[in-house]
Amino acid sequence: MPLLDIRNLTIELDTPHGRVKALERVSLTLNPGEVHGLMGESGSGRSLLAKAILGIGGHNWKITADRMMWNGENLMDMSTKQRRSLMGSEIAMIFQDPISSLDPAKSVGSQIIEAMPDNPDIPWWRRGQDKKLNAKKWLHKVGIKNPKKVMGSFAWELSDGICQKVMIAIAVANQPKLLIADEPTNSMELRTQAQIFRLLSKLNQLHNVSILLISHELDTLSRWSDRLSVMYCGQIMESGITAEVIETPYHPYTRALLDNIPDHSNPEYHKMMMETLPGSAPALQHLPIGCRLGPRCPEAQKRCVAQPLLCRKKNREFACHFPYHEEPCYDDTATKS
Amino acid sequence: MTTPLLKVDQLSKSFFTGYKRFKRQYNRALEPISFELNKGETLAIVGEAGSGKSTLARVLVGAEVRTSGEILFEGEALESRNLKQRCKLIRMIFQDPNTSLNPKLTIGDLLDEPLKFNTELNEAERRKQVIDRLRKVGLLPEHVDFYPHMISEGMKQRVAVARALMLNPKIIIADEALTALDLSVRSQILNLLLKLQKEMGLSYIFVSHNMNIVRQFSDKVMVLHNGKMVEKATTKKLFSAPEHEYTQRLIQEQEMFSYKR
Repeated sequence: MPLLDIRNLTIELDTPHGRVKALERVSLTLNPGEVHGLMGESGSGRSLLAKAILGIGGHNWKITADRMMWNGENLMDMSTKQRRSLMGSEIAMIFQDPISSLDPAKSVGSQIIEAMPDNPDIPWWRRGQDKKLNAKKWLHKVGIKNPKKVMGSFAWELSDGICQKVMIAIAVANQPKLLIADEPTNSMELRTQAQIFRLLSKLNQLHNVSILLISHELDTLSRWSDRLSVMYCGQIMESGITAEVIETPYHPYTRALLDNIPDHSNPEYHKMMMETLPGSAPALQHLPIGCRLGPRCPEAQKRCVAQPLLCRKKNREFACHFPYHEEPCYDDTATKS
Repeated sequence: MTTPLLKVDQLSKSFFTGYKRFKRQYNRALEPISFELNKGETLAIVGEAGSGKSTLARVLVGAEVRTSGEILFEGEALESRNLKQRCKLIRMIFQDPNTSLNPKLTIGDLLDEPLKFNTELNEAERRKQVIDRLRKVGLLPEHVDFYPHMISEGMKQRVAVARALMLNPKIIIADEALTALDLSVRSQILNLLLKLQKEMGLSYIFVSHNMNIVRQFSDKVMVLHNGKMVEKATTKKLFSAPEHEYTQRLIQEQEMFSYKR
């Protein structure tokens, strides 16, 4: 049974320009114990998806979904209280900018302790001490060398990498089943990036935490994730096992992204023009109908004004009328009506 | 023997950090450094945070005053105070296009400003040049009346490139200009820079920590570590046989983030 199974999730935003479909019919399946990469450019709605999974939508959101199953229970039917009890304990999230998402007025240690639940097996007068020890243990586990000193310091005294490690410690201290990492290494040094990713994959292997890894760097994701979903403008373009997606992309968008990564195998490619998609991603107010890649897609034809459904073939999923694949899906009946 | 376009000789920079026992204390951000840059070449500067690569870029462009050393442009020394002379020759593209453009000015005004302060052209001529540069970076003449918030991130970075091109500089310094951009936008801008280099014979000094782009884009690479230059070589040589231990580590780390074809 998949840990998280989302079918046809649509998020509509009420903006001054009217209601906008920020996410359209997004489907995502996450199996227990896997690292799932979610690739998308800025503005493609990947953070919206992460927030919708966690249940921290904004006041102007309207979320509709066929189903959103968490461990066999439908998240859409749950009350706010039940959702809240899942938050932080079973689903944890690491936010984009670690320094600004920690409280600047409190020491890091007290923030970790705040996030940890009481242990009912221990008498209440020893719980405080126990939590402190646990916090120290977790800080040590995420690779901080002097946990005692870090516990007493404030977020703004620490470097980027250490702050991110603290965020991960806070997220992991409750032993969640799913960890959503929203751009965990944005604007960081290569060295710290490597540390953070090594830490995440270690957590995944030792504690069996499933990780939803959100990033815009395709080469990073291809290296660290088991399965990969590619998103463009609020629609899922392709998903499947990372190695296969990279090896034989079915979707024109995935192919175009792969072309954007410099290739050093042939010295003739040095200082050559790279192939890119023309134009830029559309703004939310001016979304094209149907397949949103349509106006930029090299393969686009008349049929692309109808949104292609996600088609599943041998644990690969892709949404395109003209994929780079011998036999396209012929289940367009739903879109015609 | 031709003189190189830019020759830097024993350039160094130290920052004043305060007094200790009535003596002025300095922090050496950049040890004496020398290099040459020819016409149409790209020099990449790589290193981690705090290695002095941004300091070097800022000293070259004139945003910081150098402590010692000389910068020779086509054999002529550039004075450290003569900014008007320098800003016509060396221009800079900044890291974040969202914050490096003034939100209160239209793009036309933004591009017009360097011309207004540095040339004697009248308004019609300036307008013509603005539109010419906009076309060159792949934007439309209509974009003159747009404000920066109305266009996308990639287009903003194009405007930043156009602004750098306004005074017909010989050298453009890009300080982490591509790190904040998305993958597809990044390669669009990279293509644009390559195209301009071919057309106009520009030289670039390219500050980055992404070894993949550096490998694709540059002719020469300079590796900085703690303000010292640890290695300088052509791109091909540096990536096939890195000599210094620190360079080897940088390349190895990059490999953790790139997939095998």
